[in-house]
Amino acid sequence: MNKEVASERSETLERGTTLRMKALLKNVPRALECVGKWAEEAGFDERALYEIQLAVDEACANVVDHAYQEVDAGDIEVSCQLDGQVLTVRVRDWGQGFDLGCVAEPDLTAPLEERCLGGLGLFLVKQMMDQVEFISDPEQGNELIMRKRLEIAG
Amino acid sequence: MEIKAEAMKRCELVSVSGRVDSSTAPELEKVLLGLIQSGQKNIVVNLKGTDFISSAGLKALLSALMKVRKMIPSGDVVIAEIQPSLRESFDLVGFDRLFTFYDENTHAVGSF
Repeated sequence: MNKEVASERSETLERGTTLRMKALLKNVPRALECVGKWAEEAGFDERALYEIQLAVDEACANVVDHAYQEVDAGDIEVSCQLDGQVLTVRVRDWGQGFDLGCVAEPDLTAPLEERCLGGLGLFLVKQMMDQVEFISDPEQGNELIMRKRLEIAG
Repeated sequence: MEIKAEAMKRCELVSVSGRVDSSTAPELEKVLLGLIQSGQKNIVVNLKGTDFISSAGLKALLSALMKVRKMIPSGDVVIAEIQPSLRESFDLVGFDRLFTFYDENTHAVGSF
């Protein structure tokens, strides 16, 4: 890759990409495809791409299930940006705020009859990404910010 | 995602291919619960062709397992031919303690 092409590529990645759509489950694959293509371009390997897409799926499903649960579906915005070697994915909504601290950690060692069906999504997001931050505002909605470091092979 | 359900002698073989994400998982849940409601309590879920599963898909499987285990006599939902990348998610959420996994479909079907 010559210098000019490399610098153009790096500018595109820094600028990032944003997708805004109606918060409906049927739209979630569009977000996964968009983030997946972009992260592949940024140099993430197959395993990391799987992890990033899984985190985005969980984050979007969370918005559909919780943020807009009692109101008509509003918008969801998914954006990603590469800053140096760190990918930042933001999943934003304008629905009702909620306290992430209230989501109980799933008991992964519980016997079947005591297992709870919920809580796995957020747990997986935390496992798949290096850093997860959540901002909730009753007026402004919610934003889940997930970061993952690009590992350089060798 | 595509789902193919096939009645075997002692169980139902449900082959799932493609992506089980939050948009497609409800369909898998519907198929599994439909089979259970129609009286089938022994189910093999073959995930050979599945290359992605989110927590919605995991919940669909867990929900089916909980239902058949409560039946008298109890049934089982077992997993066959799962890909290593998916198996990692199953292990992460502790499903390795709950489900029986078979590398070969014939062994899974033969377990009933």
